[in-house]
Amino acid sequence: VNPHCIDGPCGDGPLWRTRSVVAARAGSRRSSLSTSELARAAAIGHPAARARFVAGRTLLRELLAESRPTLAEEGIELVVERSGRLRVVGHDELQVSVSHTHGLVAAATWCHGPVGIDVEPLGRAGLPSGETWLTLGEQHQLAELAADERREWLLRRWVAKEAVLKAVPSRTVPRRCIEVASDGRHAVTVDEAGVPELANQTLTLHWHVIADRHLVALAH
Amino acid sequence: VTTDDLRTLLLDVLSDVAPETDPAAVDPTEDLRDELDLDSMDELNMITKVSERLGIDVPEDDYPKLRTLDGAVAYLADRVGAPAG
Repeated sequence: VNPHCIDGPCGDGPLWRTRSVVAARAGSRRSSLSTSELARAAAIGHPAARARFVAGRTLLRELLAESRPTLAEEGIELVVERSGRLRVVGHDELQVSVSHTHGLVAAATWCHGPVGIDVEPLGRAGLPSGETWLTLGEQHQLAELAADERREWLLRRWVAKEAVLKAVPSRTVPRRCIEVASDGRHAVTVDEAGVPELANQTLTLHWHVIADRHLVALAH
Repeated sequence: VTTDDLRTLLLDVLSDVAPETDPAAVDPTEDLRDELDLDSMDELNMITKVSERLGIDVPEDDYPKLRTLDGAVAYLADRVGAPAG
């Protein structure tokens, strides 16, 4: 097991964790999952997707129990809302997010508002064409980059937007209406013309690179 | 374009996005993300390729409608006016 743990900024326990799926699978304690989670896992057809689901839920329970010593892993009830967000039953003050990618799962919890986390391999290829998911401003920034800078720049935008999508309450904001600041520290919602919305949501972004292989973004 | 054509097109695109896919083994009612181990980037790549080949725009709000093979065929048939068969 090779956990990476980052403490929250308010001295209130860990904010997020990541773990290798292979390690989590080898040491997984499926008993901490609820009956409905085990049924969901059994219904997942692809073995790798099933392993990541189990690893993600297990890691999230461990993180929640560590953040809130009064919570026992086995007693935590997680439900998926219609929006797709995970909710901790009976603990609306705790916001949670899980991300899975090839070889790694990441989990986050935050008690000061919505949170979203995303992880991707640094070498991930096959990013979708920017026109479909970048804001107009980001498309202009991309056009000014040298060819060898574009892939990592695109990957960072993708990971940030996925984290933001999980954090925004409605989760109905199109990716091309989420603008990541050029320094990567914040993201705001904009309209289709790239103008910040009157009721725009500004989120703070945190970044971490795991073992030179995975890029993690956390939005809150 | 018929619904059969759309199903063939979708399986062709899925084979491109997830090369290990066995088209004959895809359960048309299962969530493609769970069945084929697709993530959000794969999903957007799939929808982008389908959109390009059909010449239509799929709004992001509609992406959840394409998460099963049957759902995707029904959605695309409605969008392009495809008859059954």
